[in-house]
Amino acid sequence: MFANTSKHFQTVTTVGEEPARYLIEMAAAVAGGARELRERLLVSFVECTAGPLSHDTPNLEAALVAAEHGVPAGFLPLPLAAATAPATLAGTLVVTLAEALSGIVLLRLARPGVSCFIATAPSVIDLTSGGYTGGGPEDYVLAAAATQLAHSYGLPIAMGTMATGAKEPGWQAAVDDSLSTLAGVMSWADLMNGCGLLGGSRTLSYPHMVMETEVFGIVKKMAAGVVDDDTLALDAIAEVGPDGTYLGHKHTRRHAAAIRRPGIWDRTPHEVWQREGSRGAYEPAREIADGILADHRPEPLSDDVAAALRALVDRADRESVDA
Amino acid sequence: MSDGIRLELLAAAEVTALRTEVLERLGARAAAVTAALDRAPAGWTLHGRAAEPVPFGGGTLLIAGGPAASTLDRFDADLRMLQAADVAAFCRLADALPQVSVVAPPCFTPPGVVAPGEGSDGGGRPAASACAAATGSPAAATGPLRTAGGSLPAAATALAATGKHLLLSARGVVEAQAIVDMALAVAGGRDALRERPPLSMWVWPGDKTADMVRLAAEAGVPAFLPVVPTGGGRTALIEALSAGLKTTAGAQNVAPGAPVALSLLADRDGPLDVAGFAAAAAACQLAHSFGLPLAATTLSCSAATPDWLASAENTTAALTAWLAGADGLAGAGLLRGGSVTSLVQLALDAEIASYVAATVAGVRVDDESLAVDVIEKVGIGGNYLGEKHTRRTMRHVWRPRFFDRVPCEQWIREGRRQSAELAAEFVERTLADHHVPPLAPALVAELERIVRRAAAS
Repeated sequence: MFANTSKHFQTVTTVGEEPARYLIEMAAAVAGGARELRERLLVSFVECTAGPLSHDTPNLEAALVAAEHGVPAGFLPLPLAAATAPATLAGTLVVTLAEALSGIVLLRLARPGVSCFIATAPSVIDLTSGGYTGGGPEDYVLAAAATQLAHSYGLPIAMGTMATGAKEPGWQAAVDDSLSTLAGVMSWADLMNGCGLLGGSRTLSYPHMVMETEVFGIVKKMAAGVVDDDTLALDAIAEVGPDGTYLGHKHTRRHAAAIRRPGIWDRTPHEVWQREGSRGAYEPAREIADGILADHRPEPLSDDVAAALRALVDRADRESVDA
Repeated sequence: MSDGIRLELLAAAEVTALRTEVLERLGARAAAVTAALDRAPAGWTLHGRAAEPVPFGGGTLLIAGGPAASTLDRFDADLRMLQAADVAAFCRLADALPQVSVVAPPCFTPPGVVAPGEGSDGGGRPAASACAAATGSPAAATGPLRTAGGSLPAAATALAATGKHLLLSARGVVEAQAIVDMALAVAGGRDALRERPPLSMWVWPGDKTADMVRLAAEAGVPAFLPVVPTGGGRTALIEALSAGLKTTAGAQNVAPGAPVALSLLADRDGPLDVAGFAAAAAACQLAHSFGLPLAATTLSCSAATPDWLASAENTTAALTAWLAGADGLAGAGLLRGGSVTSLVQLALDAEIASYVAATVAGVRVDDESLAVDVIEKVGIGGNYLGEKHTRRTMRHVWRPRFFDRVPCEQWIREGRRQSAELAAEFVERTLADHHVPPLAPALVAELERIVRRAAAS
């Protein structure tokens, strides 16, 4: 991960004290030291709970290691209403918060004031198969409600979004992704997890990741708001007057750049679209993903950091074999 | 208890600022307009000849169709012009879908009739290019303006194919009068029409808009008045809304209490993007601030087929409209900006509507739903599947028709079926099985007389 991205990453889930300590060492090597890591938080831990109403010991141990080093840790309940939580939404929220908050209380008893967050991806059992749906109205209402509740406790939330149950980036995926993204943005979730996942979070798809970022861009733009003195444009309206056009106006030139340009949506006339092969959104998304994978080069690690990471991995392999 | 979820895209101060701008646009007429609007109803009941009445105003109704003139009846078929059988199939499918409350039938050109070319005629029907220029809507240029007789030939077909409330398009005064006559014939008289209107009139923008709305108001036919923000943006919305308010006030002066709704027509030649979604939500808030209901025509996605793009657009549009409290959401079953119908798209849009409605219902919080006793009983590491509480409450869980939820290996083994395929099978089954009570022969004859009289005018 450190070699292929310069962005923050979250682990889901680090299991056990030992792997957690290796991870912290690696992050510190990249940050430039343990003290630097406290200032420059390159990594955070997301620890799944074991619903209903319990935690796995290794996950708690990993979270405590994170807390020990000032690295944020959050707890991720994954309640399945009617199976590991009550069939009602309110009851599912009770179980969700109990699991997440109990973990946070533990961390703050051990390390007062440590940064913690709630993570959650609540869902409802599929009544036909008994399995995980990976998307449904209940999921998004629960997630939005959990966000409100987390904020009422003064805690940030990483909301489980996207990660549709659809197996391919098609119609079903778009319904799930659009609704979950809207729910996340409109409820002011601090983080939205799940971009690029299909099949109920079992499959990773690069083109799908590109398609989901398109949806996110639209929703985020919508949430940016509509009204201020400049956007009301009263002076421009007065100047253009009845039957005028705003195309050549200074106000238009100033604001035209803010108009969102879509990446993969088709806007060509029908005949042109047919002539060019009747492409859906998947094909351009795939081309973009392939292009990025071929051309994009993240900022490289320095040689000594890369060497330090390799050494850590080697040591971890040796010590786990010896154990 | 939960009252559901609502979104106010505009803060109260922003609504006030935009209201002020709208009133400034009305100039010296502002006071008279607002006084007239005080007489306008915020909602009413829509009736169908063979359907339960539905309240309009205070909740979001799904409106299927619109004045499209082309069709794509399978996922990958070529486009062709609509025929009577297509209109019948569309309306019958809409009749069968419980999520659909109102049907706006698409249009077709009767055999042997030439579609109109350029130029305006004495019936007040604007030329295709002029209307397209005025509205910027591809549906305006390819919808009823390409069909001789507009929506009237389709009206009789639609009335026979659905018992639900119909929304018929009027391009000019002649067609508006014909729609009023049809409404009278179906309702069974003037008093019955005022009490139980079976039809509404979708008034097309043009220089006869006010005349058409007055005709509807005098007869008691609910009118949907176009609000077309040409060019997009807040300025366009303000101008369009102020024009709509003036016309609505005119209707109230003629017939106080006349049911008139605003109908936000999406102005675009591409995907309904941020501006469109935001405009619909903002328009709802503004319309409601003036005490008027609003239907958003934001489901007419720009996609060519019922695919990812159609889904992303329509899900976002639907959720935005529902959260904003739009009284109607129109365009279900339409593609390519509203100019093409698709039976598969209609079924899928109904699924989206069901999904969204369940989402915005919110979280009910009471002792039963908090289930604290059940949580204590099941305890740590237990399972809720066998609990009486689960059996009692799990029937409220939303169930999809066209979503795949099987394990991946099973999905591959069963042929990687897409939602559109499942929807297409559902459409075929429904059209084979669904029955609509037939129209009385006398009523059919009267409707045909009305259409012929309008065509001859």
